[in-house]
Amino acid sequence: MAGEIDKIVWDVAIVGSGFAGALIANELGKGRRRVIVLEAGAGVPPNINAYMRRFYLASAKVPESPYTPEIFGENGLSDPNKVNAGRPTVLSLNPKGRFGDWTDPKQAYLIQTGPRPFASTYDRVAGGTSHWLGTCLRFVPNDFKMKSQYGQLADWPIEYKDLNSWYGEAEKELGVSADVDEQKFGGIEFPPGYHYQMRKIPNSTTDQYVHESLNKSPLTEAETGFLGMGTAVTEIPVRGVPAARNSEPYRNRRACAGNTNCIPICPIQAKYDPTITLNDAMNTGFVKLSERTVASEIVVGQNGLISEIKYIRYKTDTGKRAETGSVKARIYVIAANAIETPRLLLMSTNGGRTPKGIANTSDMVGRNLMDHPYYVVWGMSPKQIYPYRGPLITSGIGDLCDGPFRRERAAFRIDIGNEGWNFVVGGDPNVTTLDFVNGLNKSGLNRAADESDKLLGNEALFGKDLVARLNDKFTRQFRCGFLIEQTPDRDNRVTLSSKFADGLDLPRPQISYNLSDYTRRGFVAAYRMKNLLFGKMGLTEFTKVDPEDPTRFEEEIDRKPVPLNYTGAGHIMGTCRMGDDPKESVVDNFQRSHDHKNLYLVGSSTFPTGATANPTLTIAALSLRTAKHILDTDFRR
Amino acid sequence: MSSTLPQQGPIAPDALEEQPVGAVTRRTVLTGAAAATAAATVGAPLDTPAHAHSVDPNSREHMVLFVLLSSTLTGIPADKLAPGFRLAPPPTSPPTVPEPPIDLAKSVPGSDPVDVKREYLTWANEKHPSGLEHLLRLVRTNLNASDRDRAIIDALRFDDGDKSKTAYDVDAKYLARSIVLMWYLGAWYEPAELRALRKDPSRTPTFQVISPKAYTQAWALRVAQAHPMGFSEMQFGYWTRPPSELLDFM
Repeated sequence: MAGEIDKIVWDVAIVGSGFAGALIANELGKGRRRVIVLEAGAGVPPNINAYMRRFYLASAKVPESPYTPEIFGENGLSDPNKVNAGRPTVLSLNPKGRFGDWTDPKQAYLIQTGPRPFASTYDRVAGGTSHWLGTCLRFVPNDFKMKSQYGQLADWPIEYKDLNSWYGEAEKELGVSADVDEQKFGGIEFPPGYHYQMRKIPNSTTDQYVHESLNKSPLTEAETGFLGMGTAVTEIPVRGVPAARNSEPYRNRRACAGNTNCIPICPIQAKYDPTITLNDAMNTGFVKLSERTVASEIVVGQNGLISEIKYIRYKTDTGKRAETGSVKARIYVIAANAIETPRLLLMSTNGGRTPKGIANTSDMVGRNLMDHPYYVVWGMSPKQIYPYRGPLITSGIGDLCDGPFRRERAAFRIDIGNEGWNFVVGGDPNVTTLDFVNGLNKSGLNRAADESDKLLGNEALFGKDLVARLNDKFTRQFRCGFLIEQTPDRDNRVTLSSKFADGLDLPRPQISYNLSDYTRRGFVAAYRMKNLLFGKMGLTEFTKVDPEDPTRFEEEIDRKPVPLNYTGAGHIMGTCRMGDDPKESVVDNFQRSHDHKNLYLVGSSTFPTGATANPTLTIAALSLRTAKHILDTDFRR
Repeated sequence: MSSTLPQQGPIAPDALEEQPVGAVTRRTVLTGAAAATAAATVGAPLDTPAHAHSVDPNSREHMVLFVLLSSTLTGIPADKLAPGFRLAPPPTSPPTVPEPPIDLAKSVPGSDPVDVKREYLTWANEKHPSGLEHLLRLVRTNLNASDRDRAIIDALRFDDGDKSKTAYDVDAKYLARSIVLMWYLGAWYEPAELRALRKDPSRTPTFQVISPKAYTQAWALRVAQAHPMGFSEMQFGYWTRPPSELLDFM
């Protein structure tokens, strides 16, 4: 049973409507090319009311909570076996045997074979993973040449200078608030006279305290030598983070009102998300979005070119398939994400004609899966710093992300949280409030005088005592995190599960994942940096690692075993790496498949390395560059 | 007609009404079926479903008692929990001795468009009618106490093992905590859950967000001089300056 969209030959068929898919669709639509976008999840809603309602009502306000498909079914987490376009959730990253067991295929969409969990999640809905923070950092120049500069990881087939103007174009489309001079660090340069679209987002009271504490007096070699920066580090500036978050009205959207909720969702769309570009794309009149349409196989013709993409449509999240069909186009773009893109490529065996899948003569499809493993630490400040105000993150420390140390250990970037302990201890304000109302000590803040670490708390308060205690505790909470560069490793890999399928009977992604020694040495440096920072700030540390946490590992630091762990940054990268050598890479520097000239794979799956900057702006820059390339070379007028 | 909880002694549903049981009054007409049901169930045991209507969310006086209870337990002024709330007669300033007794019939429970208090009173009453009645009676008993807050809180602060307390007292203590959490988090933690957590603090608490409205009206982060996450009523850039004083938030 074929659908309406099968009846014509489109100029371009795009799978996925997230950042990469939406941006490319819009550029091609503006270029008067007829584009069909296949979106596996639900379409663009008329407004975000349903998302907000789902968010408000969620007990666990996890990044995925506002979006569909529903995370919870009738008996706990939705069974991924029954969901037509499933997705991972952070609720299924829990220790074995507990609720949300990360190894339980009945609760976890990803089939994780370990040895460690891959901890990042994504959405499958029009607009893609809108639960992003809005961070729009550029990579620093050396991020593109790790191999030639430091003898580690890999080089990209392009350099910073190749992307400089495309970063500018991406910033324009997303609408970025930042100050050019403040963003010149780590070798980042801008074209003469360049400016961001909007003035920077002001820093928070927490940011100010970090900067002042860290730089009260010049730092000494004894304090900062461990960083291995190659030069004396006497100052570590806290810089504003460029963000696709309006500091003034921009393209019909409002200025940020500091809802402190960029993730999971900005209630006023002051933060850019791809539904904005997607609407623009459809307004060109040349772009059509087909929602709840799951691409199931990429078909290759005898000439080696892609000839069609087969799809399955459904009507409800867990209902039966409604129809199947296939779309034909001259050019095909896969913009699913770094797990769903390789999954689709690997599924496309063409009845045995392409047993390794599509675009995979290099055997690199699915390999080199990366994240920014995120080392999160928290403590109590001696003075009130007033978290829970402003965007989730307004500033960070980026200056330590590049230097000679990269020969030895992974780099990191520091995020400064404005959300107190919301992200830790099980989710404040609930945990600390419950502690002081009901005499518990799950936060660690309601300790008895003997400083024992018992879970039973010291105080159970009512009335004005409760107000005073909660005000004192909440206003002094501090949290920061280290985004650590991860090595691309062949065995960190997305394959297909041979045992477990989704609601459409398509094999679910199977993940093997680990942290290399080089990556873990980055954690050790992050741990030392945390000690320096907390010491300068006079913080009392409350960081806790659950002994059963599957992301837990130990490193010996200063002759003591130190427990460390990580969460996901949501930065899924590397599984269709770009390169000049078709034997070692999947796409060329324009993200075109080495194997099939009318196939492009876009998004962070093509990143050869992950650097330490959030990947979105680089995804957007590469997408715009690819769109131009398609218009100029595939559709020469 | 006024409906007032008795100051002491066992509660019979009819005692909720000062006027004779069965009298058709303006109040019972106004409150409709609920009050009529209460009036018709003379002598029903405390825990029967019929008794669930001993507290009437439509009763102005019960609402005043609930707001006073909530204010005492949460530490947040009554007119912030319930905009427009005012006692009659208002407390004198400076306080005189003795203060004139509060007239519940003339006090105003507040008229605010959001009106989350009604949702909360209804919710608590549906979940634990007898416990709620116990708590409102506690407020009624101490209505004109020289330190009403202290008197109410002291009655709810004791160890579970305290032999001088009845099972009702213990239930009321945990229900009081549930009510505080409701106001602070817009979420419902069952009293039994709170009790279980005290016995086994390692368990993961279960709770339910009461409604989207409740979430946006939660006090925990207003007490932190901020706002519920995802519900800011402030302006661009406010975060770069320290907040207004706590008093301005409550």
